[in-house]
Amino acid sequence: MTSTVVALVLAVAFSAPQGTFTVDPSATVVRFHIRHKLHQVDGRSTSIEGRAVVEPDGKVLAMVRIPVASFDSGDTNRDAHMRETLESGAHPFVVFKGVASLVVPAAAGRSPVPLHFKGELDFHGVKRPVEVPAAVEFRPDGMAAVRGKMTLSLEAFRIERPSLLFVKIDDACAVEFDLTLRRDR
Amino acid sequence: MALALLALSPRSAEALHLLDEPLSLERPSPDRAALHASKPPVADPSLDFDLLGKPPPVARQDDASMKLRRRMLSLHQGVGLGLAALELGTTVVGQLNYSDRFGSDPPATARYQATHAALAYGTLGVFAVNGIVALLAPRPKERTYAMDRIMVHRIAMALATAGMIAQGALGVYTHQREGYLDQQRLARTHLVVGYATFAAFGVGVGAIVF
Repeated sequence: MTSTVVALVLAVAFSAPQGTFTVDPSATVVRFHIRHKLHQVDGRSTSIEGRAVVEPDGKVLAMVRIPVASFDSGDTNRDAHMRETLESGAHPFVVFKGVASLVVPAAAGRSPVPLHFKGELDFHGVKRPVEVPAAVEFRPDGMAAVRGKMTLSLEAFRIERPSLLFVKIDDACAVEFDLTLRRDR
Repeated sequence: MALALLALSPRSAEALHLLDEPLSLERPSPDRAALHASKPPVADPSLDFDLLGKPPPVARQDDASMKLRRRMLSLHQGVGLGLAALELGTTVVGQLNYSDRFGSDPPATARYQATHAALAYGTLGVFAVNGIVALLAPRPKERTYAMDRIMVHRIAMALATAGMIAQGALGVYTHQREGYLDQQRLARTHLVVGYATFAAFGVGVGAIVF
């Protein structure tokens, strides 16, 4: 009897909010940072499609899609050059699909809960497995904020690194995401 | 003996507090559940799902023409750096030529004149070819204009182009005024326009490099 009650209490305490969540593009941004010997380039995209499904057992399926043409580094020529490098005609989207397990402790309140996605990134037509650490915060209004960052190797995705003054940019591309998702009705 | 060895063996710091807890078959404590939740949880994730459906239509970029654009602009960049050195040389030798011809230490020897003319024609020719390479590079389908580095480069190079054309005409005309009283005035104007052109060129290159 005692164990049943404890199990019930724990199940309630650690149950994740279930349902389908859709990215709100107006409150969502993905930033990227690349480095050259002479420049640090900070770009962003706000044209993001994404959806996450939280299943009753806490399993989270997530998918995010970003058009390459939406990358904005504040320099139109550089952005055009980036589209050339990323061959946006053949590979117009960057797509991430991942799976994670979500357990929300009752004591968590509004504090972020860690999520560790294991998935696949389709970038420049190359699909590679990636692990993405993130944190999710569920708000009382039904919104969820997911933040995280990761570092990608451009060469791992067969991207020819652009150069300036015959010096290539660094291979590492840091990506930060700040997604706001709305629970579907 | 075995217990003594077990007690002395190294233990994970994360698990140390578990040794102090009594053995139990009950569910794990909330702390432990949260600890497990933060670890990589999915051993073999199945990614055979599509939550977003068909992607929206986007303006397709012609990758072949964009590759050509990239090659042409890389060439433009390389030639531009060489041109910067040529432009610097032309300006320096132009100043030496002016000082030699109209400076305070007569007599004028005209020893820099031929070098300056050769450098000037070279600079003008390479500048024209390099500008044409940039202008003929295929354009991206979605083109936006903003006040960014490349816009500064374009404006500065448009000014430098105007300066180059003026310099060519003024240089030839100044040379033709040999023996006339206004030659020094024309040469001074040529010198000033030369420095202004060099400055505009420097801004144009600097906008890309820095």
